[in-house]
Amino acid sequence: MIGAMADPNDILKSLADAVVGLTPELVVELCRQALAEGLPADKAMTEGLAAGMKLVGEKYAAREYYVPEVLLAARAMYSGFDVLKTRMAPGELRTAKGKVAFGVVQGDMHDIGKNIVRVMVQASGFEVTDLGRNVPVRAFVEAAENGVQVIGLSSLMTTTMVRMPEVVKALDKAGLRPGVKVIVGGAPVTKGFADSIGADGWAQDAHSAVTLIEQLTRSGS
Amino acid sequence: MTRSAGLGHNPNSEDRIGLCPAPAVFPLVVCDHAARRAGVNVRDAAGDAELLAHTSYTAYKAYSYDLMMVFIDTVVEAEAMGCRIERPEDDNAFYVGPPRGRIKPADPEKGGRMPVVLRAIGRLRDRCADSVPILGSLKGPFSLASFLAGFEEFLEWTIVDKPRAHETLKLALANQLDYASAIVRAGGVPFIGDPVASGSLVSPEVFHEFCLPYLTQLVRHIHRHGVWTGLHVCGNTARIIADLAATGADVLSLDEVDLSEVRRELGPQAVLMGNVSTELVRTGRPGQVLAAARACLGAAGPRLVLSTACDVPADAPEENVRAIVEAGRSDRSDASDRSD
Repeated sequence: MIGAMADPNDILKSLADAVVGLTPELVVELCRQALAEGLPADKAMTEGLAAGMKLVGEKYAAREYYVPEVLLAARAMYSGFDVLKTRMAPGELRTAKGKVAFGVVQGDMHDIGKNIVRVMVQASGFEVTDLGRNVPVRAFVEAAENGVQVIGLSSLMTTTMVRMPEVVKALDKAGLRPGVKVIVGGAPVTKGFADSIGADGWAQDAHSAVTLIEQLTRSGS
Repeated sequence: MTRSAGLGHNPNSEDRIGLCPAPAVFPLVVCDHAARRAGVNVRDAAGDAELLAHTSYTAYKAYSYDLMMVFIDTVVEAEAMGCRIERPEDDNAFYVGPPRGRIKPADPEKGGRMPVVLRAIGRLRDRCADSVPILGSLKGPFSLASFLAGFEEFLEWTIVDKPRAHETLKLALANQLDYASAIVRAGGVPFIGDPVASGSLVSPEVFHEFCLPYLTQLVRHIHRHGVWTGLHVCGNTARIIADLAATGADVLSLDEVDLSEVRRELGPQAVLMGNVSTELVRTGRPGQVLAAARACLGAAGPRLVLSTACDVPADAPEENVRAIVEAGRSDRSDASDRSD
């Protein structure tokens, strides 16, 4: 590294490419290099790691990438994030875009879809709370009380989809809506179902979930 | 002694495997829907061969379709091999996590609820005419391996640790070869469901490298028993149709694809199965289901087992299931009118 400083834009571009290339070791090395070159950590996060995940999301939507690739890209992104966050002030860790909580409704242990959406939403700059799978109604209400703007409900089974309106009703009853938006998704969940239970939004896949959450948090604030 | 497997068993022919009946109609009514409509707790039916056979037979008689399937839930073999599962009250069991100890193939006559499936097949074989194939559902090696290794880890291995993925697949296959033989011995037609090999979850390359070789071995093994077999893969399979056919499975049961395109790709002889939307069957009106079923018949032609895209939801209205059977029956009477 003696001699000319690398162009910061080159490092950011390489960082995004390394996420897309599913190479955690390279991501870690480039994050260290970025910090050594004096790049702000939050810039490396948003314009390097998150930019890479955005490309991954596009490839997933275009069926160039599938679930294994998304899981590995997320792993690469988190490895880089671990390096960057040592240089980020606690305030910077709180992202400006908003707070979201995700969970798979009670009775359902299928969490792959939720995990992919979580990764994409996190990578696009939201602070995400993962409530896990088999989540009781009460836990969603508590998340809403703790200040999230959007709650994402996932279900992979027609038998557990019926839990979704219960969450919507509980949030209504607690007086937390329309302040908190509810979005739903998962293989058997359709737009028609989302409308019928009074949800604020529905997304077909992880990529469109990011767009949806961006719209809801913008109009809601 | 191997019992007769109805149309599934053709002991007099050396290399011609008994054939899947087509045209035929069979909406994928399995344990949960059959139990629910009979007023029986799903968890009870999924753990008791007598109850399972009884509810399956009652549904078969009420709907009057051409085949039957014994399918409890996706985790039967995973449970037998030590995976952690949960069996909720009145619902299908689901996967919780991989085994804590060393993974080894299970004895199909003893492991978990595999004996429940086998005994239910035997009971139904005794009660039904030989001409009615009793399908016994078993998981494809890829889906079972993903349960054995842990779902996300296994999917990552298909890219970063291929030897480990293959090692787990071999264990899964070993279990499924024995289980398939046991299903044949019980009088059933082994029918492979591979939900994780879905075209919506993994790439065509991963399917080709990690799903196809093991499915092919399983299909060959079943054929050696003189029995035909079917393969169901969930999600969008448009890009892996050629590989699905290359497994050698005698019938391909398809979820989210255009059957007319599959027909064009595989030719007039391929036997297809599908694919009325299960969401429509759950929430639509009988007229809509009938129209969708007729659209499938139009798209696929006569070599079709008219069916649902995936299993009939537990709470699907009975009229909607009947609409599919009706579409299949009226299509065949039209065809015989034409040939008269």
